[in-house]
Amino acid sequence: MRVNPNMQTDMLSYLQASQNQEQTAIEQLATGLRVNLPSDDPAAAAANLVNNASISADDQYVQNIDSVQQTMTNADSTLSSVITELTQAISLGVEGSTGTQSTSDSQAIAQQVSGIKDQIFALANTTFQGVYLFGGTATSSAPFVEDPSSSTGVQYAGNDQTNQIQIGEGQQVATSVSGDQLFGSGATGVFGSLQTLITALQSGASSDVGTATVQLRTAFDQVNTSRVFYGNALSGLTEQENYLGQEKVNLQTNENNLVGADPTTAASVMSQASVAQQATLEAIAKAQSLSLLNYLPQD
Amino acid sequence: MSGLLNALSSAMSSLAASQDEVNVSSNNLANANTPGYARERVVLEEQPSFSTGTLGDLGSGVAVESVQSIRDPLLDASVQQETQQQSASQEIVTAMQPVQTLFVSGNGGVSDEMSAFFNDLQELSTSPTDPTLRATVLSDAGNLASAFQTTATQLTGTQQSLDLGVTQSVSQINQLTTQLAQVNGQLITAQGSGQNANNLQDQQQNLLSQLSSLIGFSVTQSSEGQTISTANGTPLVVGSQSFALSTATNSSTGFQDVISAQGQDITSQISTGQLGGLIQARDVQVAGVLSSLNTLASSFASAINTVNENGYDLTGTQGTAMFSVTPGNGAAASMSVAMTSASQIAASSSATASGDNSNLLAMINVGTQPLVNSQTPTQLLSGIVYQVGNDVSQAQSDSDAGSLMLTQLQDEQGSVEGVSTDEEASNLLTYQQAYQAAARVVTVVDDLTLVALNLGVETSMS
Repeated sequence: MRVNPNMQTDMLSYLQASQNQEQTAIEQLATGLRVNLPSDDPAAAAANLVNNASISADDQYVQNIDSVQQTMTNADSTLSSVITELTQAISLGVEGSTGTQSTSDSQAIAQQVSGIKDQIFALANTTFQGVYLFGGTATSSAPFVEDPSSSTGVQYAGNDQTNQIQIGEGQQVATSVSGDQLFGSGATGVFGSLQTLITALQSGASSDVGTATVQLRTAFDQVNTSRVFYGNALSGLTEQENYLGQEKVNLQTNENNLVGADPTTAASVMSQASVAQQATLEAIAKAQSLSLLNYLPQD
Repeated sequence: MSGLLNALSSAMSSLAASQDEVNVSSNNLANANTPGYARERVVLEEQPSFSTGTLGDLGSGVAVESVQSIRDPLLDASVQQETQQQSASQEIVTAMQPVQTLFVSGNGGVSDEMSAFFNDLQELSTSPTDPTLRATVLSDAGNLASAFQTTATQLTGTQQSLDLGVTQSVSQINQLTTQLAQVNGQLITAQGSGQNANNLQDQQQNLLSQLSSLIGFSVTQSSEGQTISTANGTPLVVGSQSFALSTATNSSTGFQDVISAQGQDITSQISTGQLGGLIQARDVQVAGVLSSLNTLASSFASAINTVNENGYDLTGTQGTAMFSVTPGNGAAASMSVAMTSASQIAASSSATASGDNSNLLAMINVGTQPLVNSQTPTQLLSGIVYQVGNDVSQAQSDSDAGSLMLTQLQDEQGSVEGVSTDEEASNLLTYQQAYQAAARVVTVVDDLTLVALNLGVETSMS
């Protein structure tokens, strides 16, 4: 059978094939990726885009958690100060209700409780990074305002809404408890109870002081119970953060499975390809010198 | 004496034939690398013998019947056809290769900017009144819009350069068909007068193989020469007449349509050859990606706008559109941010509570909820990546398979038509020996003639 005397096309295509293989292997080794362009594996590249979006979203959930953690820790410690202040006011109330004080002593205690009330008023209007912590979602103006016309002396100007934030796919948590839920409102609220206690102390009626102190204790319990939200939420957030960390590891493993290169395979493909290329080059060089014309008698 | 002279003329014919053979062999060697050249061979024929009566017939030497081109028309046609297929796929690969880099993540493309935008919204949801976070949302909204714009502009740019290729390709085709018509005409004349037209056939073959890398066609042979027509039957060359293709601007796309000499728009019917590849890449592959991108851009922008318009901004005013986009073909290219101030981001669902983030949550949900064809924005983008990657890998594997097939066919074509220097060298030896033998006969006849003329005396004449 007659064969194609022009071996060039064949040889070039062999060379090209081994060069291509070598190049692909080098690219995989250099980038660590099997899929560098969508055409390397369209399905894997497409799946990887979704996977990447999940990784990015997970990072953001962690970021969200970090942001609200700061705010919530701040709110929690503010409430802890409120509790301290209230404890102080309750023991003053107890002191005033024994009936052994002089009027001037009672007046002095009333003065102290009034100071505590101002302190708590300031705490209730705490801001963190310019945002009022206890106004519900009305965060741009002070939630508690002085109101001399009201019996409690303080008016709640916030709302009873609370923001939710996403901390995972389809997972939301509330970020705050509104001021009126924490501090209560009207005569039974923190400010109402403090005001009643102050009035009772000023009048010097020890039984009224006792009743007012019991009332204040109830308000104290209310703050204490509502405050639990922050503690629970904060520990929930830490758990979620751990979970997200684990999920990110899974997603990264998945990414590696989708588009990562296997360095061992790539390295062995590369060495095979370069051996093949070497051999092809040698074959071409040999074949080119083979010609009958070289063997004919030269006379 | 007449017997001897007869031997002399036989020898002379053999000398002439050998010379012709050496000539042809030499021409083969000279054209070993000429494109379109098919090796030639001398066809020898015994010269008519004459009767000597009782002794029977005596031969009178050899004659050169013809010089024949060794050609396999079927193989030639297969090579042309495979070339047409392969160049179309190759063209698509070339066009789409750069397009897919637009969709590699980590390059600031649409998918990166979209992730950044939604992450900003998430961040803002943790502190909805924060001016810095609001400004970040607005600036990343701008980045997202410009990523849409840039991607669309690059896709359109690719289409425009493909379009330029269409015009150039058509003019090359016309040049080749003009030349083919000329060669056809010369062939008809030459064959009519019984000439050896090998040279013209080689030329014709070379032109056809050039044409096959440009456009798909089929060739039919008749008494009026070749008819070359496109796959849908539009004639390009009929005998000695060529029919030029032309281009005309399509009023809706602004790109060039290919028009036959008969005035028909045959753009969509050209699927192979470089021209076919250019048209397909321009009108199918790139256009498809651009249309997916436009759908995403306009539906995304309008979904975000709707949510923002439903909410209240930092000042408690009803929200307005965040993005401005012209729906339709230019959606992605036209995308920009309509908002002028970050305070216009309507985070709140309530006119009185600026710290509310529930409208932001609704905006974040645009990213995770079905937008078009029950697919989320991320899924739509992932679909585009698949589309682009698949276009390239499909065309690449077609092209690879095509070139493998082409190499195979060219091998076969070469094994029939190609000039082998070894073969020619060995033939030359044969021809040399035949020539030497014939020359020897001439000397022998000369000697014998002398003997006859001198009547046996050796020295009288020499």
